[in-house]
Amino acid sequence: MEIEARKKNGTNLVQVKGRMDAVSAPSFEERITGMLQEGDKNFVIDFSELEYISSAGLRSILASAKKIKAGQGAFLLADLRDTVKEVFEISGFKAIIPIYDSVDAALSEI
Amino acid sequence: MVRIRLSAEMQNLEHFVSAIREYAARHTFTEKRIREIELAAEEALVNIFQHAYPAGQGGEVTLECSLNGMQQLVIRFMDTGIPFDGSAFEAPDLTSEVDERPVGGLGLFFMHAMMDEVSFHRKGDTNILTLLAGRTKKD
Repeated sequence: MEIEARKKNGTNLVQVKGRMDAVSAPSFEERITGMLQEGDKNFVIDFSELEYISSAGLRSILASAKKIKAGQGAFLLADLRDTVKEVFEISGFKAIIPIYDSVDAALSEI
Repeated sequence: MVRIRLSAEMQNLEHFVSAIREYAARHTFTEKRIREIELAAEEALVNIFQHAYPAGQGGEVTLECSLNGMQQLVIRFMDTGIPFDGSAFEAPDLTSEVDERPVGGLGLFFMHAMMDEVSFHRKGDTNILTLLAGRTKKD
């Protein structure tokens, strides 16, 4: 899994590529936690190149979402592939974490 | 049939999962179905890695992949750890809000959601977890 972060209009745009499995998932939460500690608040996560996610990945996302929510920030997911989207749908995560069709659509919500 | 045996450690996750992926691909399962199989297999393996053996006391996991007479993929995980029966499975609450939702509890749910059958057996000192995957996910 690769994580690339940049700023766009004051929002953190974080792209996650590859596989978010039980081995790689904790590094996502660590990265988000690090950015929060630097004072960043709003996040859009670009999943267009995320190929696979397991429950460990969802846990890492949920833990990150809770921390961001605690700091009154926004945490939006964008551009999920079908197989990843299906995991969000059947787990019910789709109902608790905002998901947008594109990065631009998510950015315009902040 | 494919059979591999490795220590029950997270660093071996990719070895096990790629063996299953290659076996399924060789037997012409679709890319979509393989992703679903990978997900169920990861959840099964992570449960075993984390819970089968007491902390500090290592152990091994044996994986067997085969096809049955109905051309379904049969994945079997065996460990000689603490007796475990996941049959008494209850679906987690999938409707609660972000800050109320407990972190965890989804692994067994995904196994059941993705596989045609999930079964647990104990034979002698061995836990046997069997995942059965047809060519497409059941509704």
